[in-house]
Amino acid sequence: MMSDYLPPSFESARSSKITVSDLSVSYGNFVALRDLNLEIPHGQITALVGPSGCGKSTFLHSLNRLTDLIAGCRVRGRIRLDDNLEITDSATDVLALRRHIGMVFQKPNPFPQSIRRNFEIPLREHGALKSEIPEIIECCLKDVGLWDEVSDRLDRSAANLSGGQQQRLCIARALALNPKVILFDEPCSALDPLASAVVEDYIAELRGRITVVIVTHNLAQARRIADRLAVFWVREGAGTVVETGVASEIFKNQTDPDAKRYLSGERG
Amino acid sequence: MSRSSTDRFFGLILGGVAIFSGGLVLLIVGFLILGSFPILESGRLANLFTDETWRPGSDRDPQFGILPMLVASFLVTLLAIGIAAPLGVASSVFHHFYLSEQLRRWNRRMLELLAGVPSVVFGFWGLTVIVPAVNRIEPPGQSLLAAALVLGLMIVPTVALTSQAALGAIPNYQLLAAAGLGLGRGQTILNIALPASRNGIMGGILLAIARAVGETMAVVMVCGNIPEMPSSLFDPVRPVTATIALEMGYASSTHQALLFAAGLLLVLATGAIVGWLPFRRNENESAVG
Repeated sequence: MMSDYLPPSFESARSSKITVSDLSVSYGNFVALRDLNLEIPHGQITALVGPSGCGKSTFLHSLNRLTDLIAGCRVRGRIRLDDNLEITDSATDVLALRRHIGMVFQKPNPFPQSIRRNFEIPLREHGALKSEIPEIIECCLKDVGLWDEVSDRLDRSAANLSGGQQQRLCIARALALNPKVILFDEPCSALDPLASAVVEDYIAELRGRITVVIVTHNLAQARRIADRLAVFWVREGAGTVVETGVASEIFKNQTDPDAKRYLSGERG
Repeated sequence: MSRSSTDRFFGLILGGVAIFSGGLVLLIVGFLILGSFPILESGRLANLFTDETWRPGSDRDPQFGILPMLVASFLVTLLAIGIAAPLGVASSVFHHFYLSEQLRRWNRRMLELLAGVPSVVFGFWGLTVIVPAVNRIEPPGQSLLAAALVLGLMIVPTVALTSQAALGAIPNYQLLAAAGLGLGRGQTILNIALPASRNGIMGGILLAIARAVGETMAVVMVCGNIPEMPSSLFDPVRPVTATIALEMGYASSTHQALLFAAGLLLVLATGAIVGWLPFRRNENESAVG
C-alpha cells in the first residue's frame, strides 16, 4: 500500500480553495488587518500586491496559523479550507494544517544540514515511509529543476547551494509534503534577476496542481504569473483588500482609485 | 596635549595593559617550568608515572607516583561533566522552548546566581549534605562519587548558560522554516535546534570541563584526600589540585618541584581544552558559511 505521499506530479489535482470571511488580525493595540473577505480559488495562482505595511504578509501567515508564533497576535474571523476545515478554529491540528498549507519564505531557509536531511526531517515527522523517501526527493527536486544539479551531492550541506538553488530547494521541500496550497512570501525578492526568473518559472508550473498564493512587490511578475489578483491597501489605519478578481481584467480596469494609481505605477 | 598625541598616549597605555594581560599566562607557564626544573633536570620525570605510591617527602625511599591523582582528577571531571552536560543542556532547551518570557528572566537570574556561589560554599554544602548521603550507601562518604556530584552541580550553570546563548543564536528564519513545515516542538528541538547549536553547546561543555579540572576548594572538602588508585565510586580519592593545595604549604626541594610539575600538567591539560575551542569555531564557520 502506498501512503498519501505520492509526489504531486503523479497525482490529479489535490489543490484546494480557501475562503476568508471577516478576518481581522491585531498585534497588541495595532490592527494589521480589518474585516478582510477573500476567495482563493483552487488550482490557480493568486497574487497579493500592494505597498509595504498593508498586511499582505500578516494575511499570508494567518492562512497557515504561523501567526500563532507571534506573542500578542490576535486573529478574529473565519478562514476555511475546502469548506470543511476551519483553519482559525483553535481545535484544528496546526501541524497537520501546515502540512497541507506549505510556505516558502522571502529569505531561502534550508536547514544547514544535508540536502537529503532537509527532506527527511519533515517527511518523517509527517509519517512518510522510509522506503518511499528517496523517490519523493528525486521527484520533487525534478519538479524544481534541481535534480540534475544536486543529484550527486545529496549528502552535502544545503548551505553550500546558491541563493536561487536554495530557494528552489525550499519549494521542493514544501512540495514533498504533498500540500494542497503553497504560500509564497516574496520568494524572489532576495534573489538576483536570473535566479528570480528561474524560480518564477517553477512557481508558474504549479498552476493547476496546487493552489498558489504569492505575495509580490513586483507588478510585472504578478502580471506574468497571476490568475487572480488581490490589491491590499491601508484603510482607516488597517490593511484590507480593496480590489480583487481575475488578474488580466484588474490590470485593465480598476474601480478603486488607490488600486488604479498603484497598478499604473503612479503610487505605492 | 593635541588630539593626535592623546590618541598615541592612550594607544600606548592600552597596548601595554593588553600585552601584560595576554602575556601573564606565559609568565605563569614559565614560572611553573622554572619551579619544576629540578625534576625535569634530574631525569626522574618518568617516576611520576612508574612509581606506585606518593611519598615525595620520605628521606629513605621517596616515591613520586602521581598517577593515582591524575586518574582521580580525570575520573572526577568525567563524572562531573557526565552529570552537568545532560542537566545543563536539558535545562537550556526547557528554558528556550517551553518557558514564557517572564519566567525565562527568572530562570536565567537563578542560574547566574548559582554560577556565582563561591566554591567553598559548595564544598561546605557537599560536606554536610552529599557526604552523609553517600556515607549511608557506603562509608566513608568522602569519595570519588561525592566529589563528582558536588563538582557536577557546580558546573551546571556554565553548561546551561552557554547552551542558552547557543540556542538563542539560532536564526529565527530556521525556526520559522521548521514551523512552516509543520514540525512539532520535539522534532524542532532534536532535528533543527540542537544540530544548529551543537558547536556552541560543545564549547560550553569544554569550558565546564576546563573549570572542573582546575576546581580545588569544593573538591578538597569532599573527596577524602587519600592518594591511592580508586577501585570504586565510593573510594576516597585525591585529585591533583587537592594535592597541590594540601602540600604546597610545607613542601620543599624535590617535593616542591614535583608539585610545580603537577601544576604544569594541569595548565597544559586545560590549555589543550581551551585551545581546542577556537579551532572548533573556525571549522563551524567555514562549514555553514
